Amino acid sequence: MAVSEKLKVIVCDDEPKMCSAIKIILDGFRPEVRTLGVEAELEVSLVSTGEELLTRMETDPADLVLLDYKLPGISGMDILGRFSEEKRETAVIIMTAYANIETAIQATRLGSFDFLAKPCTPEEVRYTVKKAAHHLIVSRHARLLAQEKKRIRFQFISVLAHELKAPINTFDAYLDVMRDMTLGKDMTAYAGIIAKCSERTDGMRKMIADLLDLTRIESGQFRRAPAALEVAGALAAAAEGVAAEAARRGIKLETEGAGLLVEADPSEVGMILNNLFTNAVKYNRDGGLVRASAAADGGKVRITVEDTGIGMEKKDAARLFSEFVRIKNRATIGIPGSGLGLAIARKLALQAGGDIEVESEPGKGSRFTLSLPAPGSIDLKAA
Amino acid sequence: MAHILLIDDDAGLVDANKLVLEAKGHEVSVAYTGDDAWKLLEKRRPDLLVMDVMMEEFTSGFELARDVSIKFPDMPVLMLTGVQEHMRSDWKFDEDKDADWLPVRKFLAKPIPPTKLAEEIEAALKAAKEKKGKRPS
Repeated sequence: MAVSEKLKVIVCDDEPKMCSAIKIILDGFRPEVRTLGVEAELEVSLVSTGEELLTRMETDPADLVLLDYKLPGISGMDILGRFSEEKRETAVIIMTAYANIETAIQATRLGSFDFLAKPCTPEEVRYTVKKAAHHLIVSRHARLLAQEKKRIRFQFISVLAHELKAPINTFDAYLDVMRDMTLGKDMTAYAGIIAKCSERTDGMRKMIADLLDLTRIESGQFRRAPAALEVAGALAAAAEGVAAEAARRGIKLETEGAGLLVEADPSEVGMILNNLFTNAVKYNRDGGLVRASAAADGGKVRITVEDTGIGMEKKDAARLFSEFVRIKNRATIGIPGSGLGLAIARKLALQAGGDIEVESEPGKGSRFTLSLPAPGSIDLKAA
Repeated sequence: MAHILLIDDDAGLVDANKLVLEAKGHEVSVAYTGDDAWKLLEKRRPDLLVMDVMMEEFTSGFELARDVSIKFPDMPVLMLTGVQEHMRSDWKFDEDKDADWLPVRKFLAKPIPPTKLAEEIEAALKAAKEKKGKRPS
């Protein structure tokens, strides 16, 4: 079903018959832009002089003007000249009974979109209007897309600035405490402060590394080499990466998945699983459990990583994969993170033809499900 | 010595402020979210409250300040904000003009050194004490 978009059309001709004929021809005509799934809804109004057209353009500008070349007062060419001076984005179709090549060249130079020679058939009118409508809608969409891109970029940068500023504010605050010698003159009293500052610098460094990863993934500079990959091995390697921290906190790691293969880039799968395992340990309770398993599901393999940690509310789970989202509450306050890890993991999973989902319950734990294509289930060239 | 409640989602900042205030002999409670702050407030009324504007949501601080002003009309509230720097706005808080919609005693721009914040807290506590003393009870 095409979405309908309005285009305002003004027909400017001093012959009332010509005006009403065009209105009838365009009545109910809905030119379609198939590639965008858009149908133009033409809102046609009529004026009989150039002066009237100019006044109307001030208050209620049209997207498209069908303009008679020879008007009693200000001429069609003068109007075209005015439009181009005012840098209007209005598309103009010049209509004239004095069809000759000079007029056409002059009109085109002044920026008219197209040319209709009178007398013209209804088909010619519709064809020309259709071309103009297509042009107008495509450029309108391009403009909106450019604006949206700018908005997203601005939002990303302001969040990034906030995230980078936060640790600096903390350093400043602690420096003030040290300058003030709040805790006395003995340096050992400040050991806790120094440890906290080191944690924050580590966090900043990790965030910068994540940012670079994210940029590389988005710019397509990650050279992907999908291959048949053993799930059990990948899970064991990811578990190995967090084994020391898990042991320190008495968290048990269990992995399964023997005999299953996925078709994906091994280093990308490594990045995703590292992230899921790190989170499963980070947000677990001491003495908890991380359990990873895998199962074939049609042309996909579903890998689940479950923890027995703090979990999260549904509303938090819904925005978890967006950039810089970190769930802030009493349970997460001391846990460092860039807020980019899961955004990166999701992007990688989608690029590999899979996805990541989360189910969670506060206080009980979270279960992340990574689905990846099984070997032979995707056309590698297309992916 | 007073009981002060610090509300901010940045654990490092809260910790630094707490160290300075405790060194000055105050008792400090900490909340990292508006909800947690409210739970603490209902259990025990602090003498003064310091909060950040932007906590979980952009306006959480404003909402909390309003709720506090309804339940504890006399409690001095100091509000910290990075908003000005963030929005490049030259808006300044004026207690006379803005106190009805933003019921806080003072609006302080972040970052503020903990020792400077401690001075602001002392001044606000003193002002609150004088106000209380003047009022017939």
